[in-house]
Amino acid sequence: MNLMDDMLNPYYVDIVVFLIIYLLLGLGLNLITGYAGQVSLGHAAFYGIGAYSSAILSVTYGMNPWASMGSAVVITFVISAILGLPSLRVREDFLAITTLGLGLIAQSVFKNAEITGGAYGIDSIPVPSLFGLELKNVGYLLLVVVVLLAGIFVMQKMTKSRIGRAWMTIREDEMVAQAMGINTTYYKVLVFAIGGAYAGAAGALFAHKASYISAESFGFTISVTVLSMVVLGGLGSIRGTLFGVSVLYLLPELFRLFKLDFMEMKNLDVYKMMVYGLLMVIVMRYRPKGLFGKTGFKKKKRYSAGKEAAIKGGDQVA
Amino acid sequence: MLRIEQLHVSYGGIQAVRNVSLEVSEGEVVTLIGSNGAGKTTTLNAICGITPSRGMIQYRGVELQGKATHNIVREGIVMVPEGRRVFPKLTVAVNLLMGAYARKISKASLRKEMEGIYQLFPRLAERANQMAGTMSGGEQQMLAIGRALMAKPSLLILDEPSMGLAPIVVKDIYETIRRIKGQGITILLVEQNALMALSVADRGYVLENGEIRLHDTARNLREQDNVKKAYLGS
Ligand SMILES: Nc1ncnc2c1ncn2[C@@H]1O[C@H](COP(=O)(O)OP(=O)(O)OP(=O)(O)O)[C@@H](O)[C@H]1O
Ligand SMILES: [Mg+2]
Repeated sequence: MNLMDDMLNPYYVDIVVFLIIYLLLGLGLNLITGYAGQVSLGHAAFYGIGAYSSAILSVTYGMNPWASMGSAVVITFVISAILGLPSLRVREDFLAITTLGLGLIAQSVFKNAEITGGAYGIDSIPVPSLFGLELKNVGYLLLVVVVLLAGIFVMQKMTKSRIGRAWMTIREDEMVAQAMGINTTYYKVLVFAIGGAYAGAAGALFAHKASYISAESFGFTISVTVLSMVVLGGLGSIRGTLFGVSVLYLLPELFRLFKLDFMEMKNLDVYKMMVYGLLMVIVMRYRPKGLFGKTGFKKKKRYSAGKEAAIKGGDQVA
Repeated sequence: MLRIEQLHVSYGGIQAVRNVSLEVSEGEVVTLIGSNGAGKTTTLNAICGITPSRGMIQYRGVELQGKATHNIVREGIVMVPEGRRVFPKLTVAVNLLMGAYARKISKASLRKEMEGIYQLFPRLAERANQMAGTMSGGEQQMLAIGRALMAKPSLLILDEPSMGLAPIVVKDIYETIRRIKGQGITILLVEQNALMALSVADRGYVLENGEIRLHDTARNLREQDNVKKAYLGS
């Protein structure tokens, strides 16, 4: 393990580890927004809950990091289900605003609660070890790769199953989904829980990698960034998410790598957001369904669309 | 089989359906006719639990009032909604598959039933892997009916199946409704196109401003002067 650590530049290993953490975030959001059609602007809340749960359990309560990470996923699953409840009453634009609000509330709790270490955050988060070996660098990379592969596998199975079809039907037309016998309440709560659990896993992996977390890492920008990545790749497509997240995540790293003269490194975040914004505008203009997408971001209002199509369809049928 | 008594539905103070009572017996085709805004869709949505209502809605002796929509389907009541509302970005085959969602059946018998639907609507078979939203209005209506049949309804509710379709397609759809009736499925048919509806129905109710104005056998309704004037265009 140590030999490999030497061979691989830890800086690149870190980039890949954090990329994979973002991939997990993206997969979870794609489940919620892409497959089930529930717009969420508060994904960072789930990420933060996962990170803080594992950090608190392992640092404050001295739990083994493996156990704390596992518990964090379960805790995020439960809390996400609760935070998904507004989706039962509001939809689309209103749901976007509501989840945005929940995200902001979550961040302010992270920043102010005693248990989360307030503005200081939590540090000295332990590294998990396997057979007496601490999982650092390449070891940690292997861990996140395994989690990612498991995450992709489970998601593929889920989206091709009865559950996945129920989600897609809800996205397409919620009222008709009910009329087909789908318990939409259950499936909407479930998608927030599972999508949240993905983010929770990402958060836990982030916490034990960074060894220090504070509320800054779980703000609105993260939610928007992940949403941009998922939309760019294409809603409702696993490949799309992998691609969209990778491109948008690695692009700013390229700036860093080539140290372009005309750019100030301290403004990297500003450039990053500008590039994201530009890419979003271009993609939405030329490929509104995203690069791999099956479904557009803004769906038409079904009811009126149906009526219009019905009236137009009249002369076309033969 | 279906008994509704003193059904009331209001949308924020506006009474859309008032004191509606109607009955559908096993094997019958009953039509509910009325012009725009009469409250037809509202009545159907109340039956399916989509819109909250007051009054009694009994199906095969079971009170549906207070039951969730997805459970009402499991009682055997399946609706083809107004404006078809197929799942536009899912294929024809998946749309049909979703119709059978509430049922527990094997893959083999599912496939067999889908074959049955394709026989009823050969046009759907040709388009099995096409996105439903890209089909013509008539094809979408066939798909919406096929999807509902996949749920094996004991009572099939159709909300304006002729809406926005060319006369020749409407004839096709009604031919299908006759065939479904021939299979012994009870049908509640909502229409503005009273002439078509009364041609296939056994009995009919005329809804006006949220209230039942008339109810009689289809034959008698066709002969009624005021029905003729108001709905049959003669
Ligand atoms: N969601 C709603 N909110 C408020 N009012 C509604 C709603 N849905 C229907 N209404 C009102 O209830 C009345 C009955 O509408 P409904 O859709 O049941 O009529 P309909 O007989 O199906 O008409 P159409 O033939 O045009 O479909 C109308 O006055 C309508 O404006
Ligand atoms: Mg109507």
